[in-house]
Amino acid sequence: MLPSEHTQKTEQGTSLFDRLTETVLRHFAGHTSRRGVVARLGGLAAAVPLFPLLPVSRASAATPAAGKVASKAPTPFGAKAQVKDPNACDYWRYCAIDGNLCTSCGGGVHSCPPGTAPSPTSWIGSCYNPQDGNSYMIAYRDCCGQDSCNEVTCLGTDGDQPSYRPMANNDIIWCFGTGTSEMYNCSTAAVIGKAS
Amino acid sequence: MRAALLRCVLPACVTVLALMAGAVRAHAAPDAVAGATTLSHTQSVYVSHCGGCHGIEGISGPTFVPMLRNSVGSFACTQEGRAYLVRVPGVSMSLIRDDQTLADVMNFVLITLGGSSTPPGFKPYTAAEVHTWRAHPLSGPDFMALRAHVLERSLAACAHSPNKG
Repeated sequence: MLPSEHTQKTEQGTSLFDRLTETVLRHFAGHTSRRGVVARLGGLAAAVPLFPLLPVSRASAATPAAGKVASKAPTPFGAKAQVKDPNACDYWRYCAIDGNLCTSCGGGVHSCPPGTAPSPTSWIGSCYNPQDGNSYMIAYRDCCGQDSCNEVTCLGTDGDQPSYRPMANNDIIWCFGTGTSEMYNCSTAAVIGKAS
Repeated sequence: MRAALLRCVLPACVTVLALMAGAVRAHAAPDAVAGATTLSHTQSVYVSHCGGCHGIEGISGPTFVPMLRNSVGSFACTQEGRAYLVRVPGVSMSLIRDDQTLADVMNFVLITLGGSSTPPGFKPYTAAEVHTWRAHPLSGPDFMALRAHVLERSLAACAHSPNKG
């Protein structure tokens, strides 16, 4: 038997069930709008992406929006560091400084006070910046040639090793080899670059 | 009714797009230190373990610390000199414990900082070489004399090298 013959045969014998189905469907079609369905589907498509924006899911992602980066500080110093006041010991660049702040002695965060000269060697550390979430390599260079300036004395120990590891120990005063005098005055903290 | 629904949907779409754009922008926070150079991992390791004394760019200034820039490569014309550079205490006993990282730092020192002093045919250090040589750190009372002899022999080899005019 061919498929067309089969169709012909079933069309002839229209059952009560077929007529009932047709009536129901025609009634349904006559009372609904196709464009209404489109509008509802469109509304759904627009609403689904809105769910992640509800306050519930936004709460966990609120930190980056406030200008702070979510990445965690690698050290306790970095977690508490501030980026505003270079005259305080918790300024982010001072994570590995051991000495007097040149900023409080007439110098700057990377310049020596008048009458002193920078040491030829320095101690280098890596400090976390809480503002942008990057770590920067910082050179702590001593300023030498005047009496010790004891205005603000700080001790940051990020990456500091015991003195039997002299190359990684920041207790050492680096004034030897400076042209002027080996007297230690204060320490600067210059950014070398962004660590990757 | 239908028009009202559309009027609701359209602003919603606009809001979604605007919020998405805001979220993308918030991820790219500007650097706190404007204009700071981005250092590679190898450079960062060099700077933190060597750069304090040898200089951030290999220029150590008027100290007893040997200059690296355009001079350290003079040791690299002999196998003995190549080994010497890894066996010196500052390198062999450095806190860079990973051999591959140390090899990378040595190659940065020789190729980038060594500059004109490094022979053109310089073969980069491998982790295996570093591993072998750092196990025999240099020690002894006549260190400076040993250094002078190693350098002398390497300079002679550099002068006879076919690569160098």
